[in-house]
Amino acid sequence: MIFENQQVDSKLLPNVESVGLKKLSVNYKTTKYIGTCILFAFLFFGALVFYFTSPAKSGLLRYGIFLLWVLFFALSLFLVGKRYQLSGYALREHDVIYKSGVWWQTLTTIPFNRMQHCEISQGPIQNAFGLATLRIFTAGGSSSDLAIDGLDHEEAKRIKEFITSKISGPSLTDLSPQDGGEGDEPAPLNQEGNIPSAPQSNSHEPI
Amino acid sequence: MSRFEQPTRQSTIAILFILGRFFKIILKQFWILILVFFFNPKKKVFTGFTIGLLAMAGIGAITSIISYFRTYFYVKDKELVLERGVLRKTKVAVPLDRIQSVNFKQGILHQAFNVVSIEIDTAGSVGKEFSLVAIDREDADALRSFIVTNKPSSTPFARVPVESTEEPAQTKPTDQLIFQLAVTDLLKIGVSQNHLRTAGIIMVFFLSFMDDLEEALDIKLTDRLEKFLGVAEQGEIFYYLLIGVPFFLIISFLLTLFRTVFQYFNLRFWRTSNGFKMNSGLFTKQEVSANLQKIQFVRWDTSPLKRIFKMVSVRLPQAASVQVAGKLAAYVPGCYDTHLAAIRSAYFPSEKSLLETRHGINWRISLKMFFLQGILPVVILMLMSQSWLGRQVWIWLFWLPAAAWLSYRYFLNWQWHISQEGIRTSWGVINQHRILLQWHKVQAVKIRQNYFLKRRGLAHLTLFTAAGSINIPYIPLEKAHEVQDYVLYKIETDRRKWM
Repeated sequence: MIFENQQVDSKLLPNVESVGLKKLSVNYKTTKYIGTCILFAFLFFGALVFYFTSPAKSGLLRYGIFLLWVLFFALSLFLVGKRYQLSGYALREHDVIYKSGVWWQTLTTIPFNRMQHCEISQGPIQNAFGLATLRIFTAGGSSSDLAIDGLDHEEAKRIKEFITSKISGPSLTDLSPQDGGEGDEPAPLNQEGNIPSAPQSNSHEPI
Repeated sequence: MSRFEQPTRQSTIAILFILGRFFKIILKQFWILILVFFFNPKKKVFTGFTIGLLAMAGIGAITSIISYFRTYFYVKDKELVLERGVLRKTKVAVPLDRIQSVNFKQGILHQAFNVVSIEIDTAGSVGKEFSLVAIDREDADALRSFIVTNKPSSTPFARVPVESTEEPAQTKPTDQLIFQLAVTDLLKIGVSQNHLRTAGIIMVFFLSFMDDLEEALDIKLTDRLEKFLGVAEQGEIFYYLLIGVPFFLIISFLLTLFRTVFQYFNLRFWRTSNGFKMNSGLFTKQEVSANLQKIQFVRWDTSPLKRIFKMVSVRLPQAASVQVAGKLAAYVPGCYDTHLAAIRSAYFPSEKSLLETRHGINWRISLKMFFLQGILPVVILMLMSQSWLGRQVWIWLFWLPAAAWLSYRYFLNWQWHISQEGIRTSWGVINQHRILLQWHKVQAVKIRQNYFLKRRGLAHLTLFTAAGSINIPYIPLEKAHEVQDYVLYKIETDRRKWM
């Protein structure tokens, strides 16, 4: 290409908003519900203690604690559902997108060529439900690192594999300049032939 | 050069430094005991517990001497290896191509013995840091050039900061002096530093110091002070405050002034072949260099006084592992616009030739600022001062118009300019801040919204780099998405190294 400084029409750029996000594992929601129930079982115990030891004679104050318990329990269950409903992730040809949060809704995008490495971690509860956390690390501190909590273990492994191939891919072409310019070849398919949630195209070539 | 392939010990002077460092720690922990021992001999300090502690300190001293004889460094298989440990041996090996920088430091004692201490920073969050207390100057120079020449990859060598008393003889002819600060400039900078911060530090220091002192010497300083103030009349307290507060402020003013002048004496800022270099200092000379490729963005700030002097302070944050990130932000305490322009054009050569579009943020940010700077502090102050101001608490309400003006100015001053290759943001009313960032330095993009912002269709946009982030608050969601898509496009098609 002789003249590379083409005009870019921002309307034609691949659009993060239009990407269909993939939901986290259903098991993740289940573990969160169970966790909430266990927490509130303990809190119910606390409420009982309050009920029997409270010096207040007035019924309203004594029963109020249970009302409060019910309210917070309902709110927490609602938030778990809402959080699950709002969270999602997507892989594109050049980046990873992750959406999370209920009160602060956050949409984070990290291109593969800015990632340092990624890893999978699994706690005991996650293990029991076949879940895993995928962590993506960028350079220079933790502020822009990404942790996707609540992926199926298999899916997490596939994504990790995919990201690792993406991270190591371009840097290899960097080392040998004669290969330069071929970095944008299509993503290497992995053996099973099913790339996790088939990366959606955000190729910049056609512009 | 092959001498580094044999295990080498540090200079014997290192024993002195190891012991010195050890006693410094001991002194920090036990200075109260020592003080008591001299000034209050009647108080029993040598209980079994303290004697035990002292014995442990003795063992510690011996161990640290042994550790000197068991510390070796050498190069093997393209790796720099450090072996150490008295009972349990540890071995740290850093591949030469992972070494980001070799930093030398030379305090006054180091200078007396012609040795330097070495710190080696490795890439990324690996965090295997590698440091040696004292090595002969020639050996250190040889080691550094050995590492540079034997690095497998051809990446330019990152950063070579030196602290030494020598004149920078190693200044290459290609280095070009961008500016130099005269003493009058330094005085201006010293005057315009943040004196309140110094005052705060002094205050905290004295309060903790007083606490320790009271306990050690059995003097009730606070009681005495209370008694003293108790007998004083209401008017007298006012009088003391009138004398005391300005005195305190003058002390902190002078301290910052002297510190600035000493630290930045004869500051010279150079453009080197691959970045910048800055050397300064009256007693301890320091040299900081910044590699252009590693510099993530340029940030410059002004305070009202700095604006009167037409000066700015400049910060050049560099990509690094977390441990050394603070040390790596090259900081120029003050310079003039032409100097800043030179720095900007080196970091972002095409900045001036590109077309910029200017954007603001939503006016609703002034509501938020008014709440945070106006209503919230006024309510808190009114509640807190109710007991002694009584009915006069309403005087705090006079702050509200000022807060309103500040909040409105904050909205007006918040601007961001984008071009094809980068972004420039500017914000702040009293202290004003600017950041210049090239798109390809960005490594992650985040859009955040809470319920209120969502209802108004607004969002915060954050651009993360390898050395900190840039946040643009209160912009329309569509704009945030548009910038996000464009930045991602720029990063993903850019093949330049960004750090």
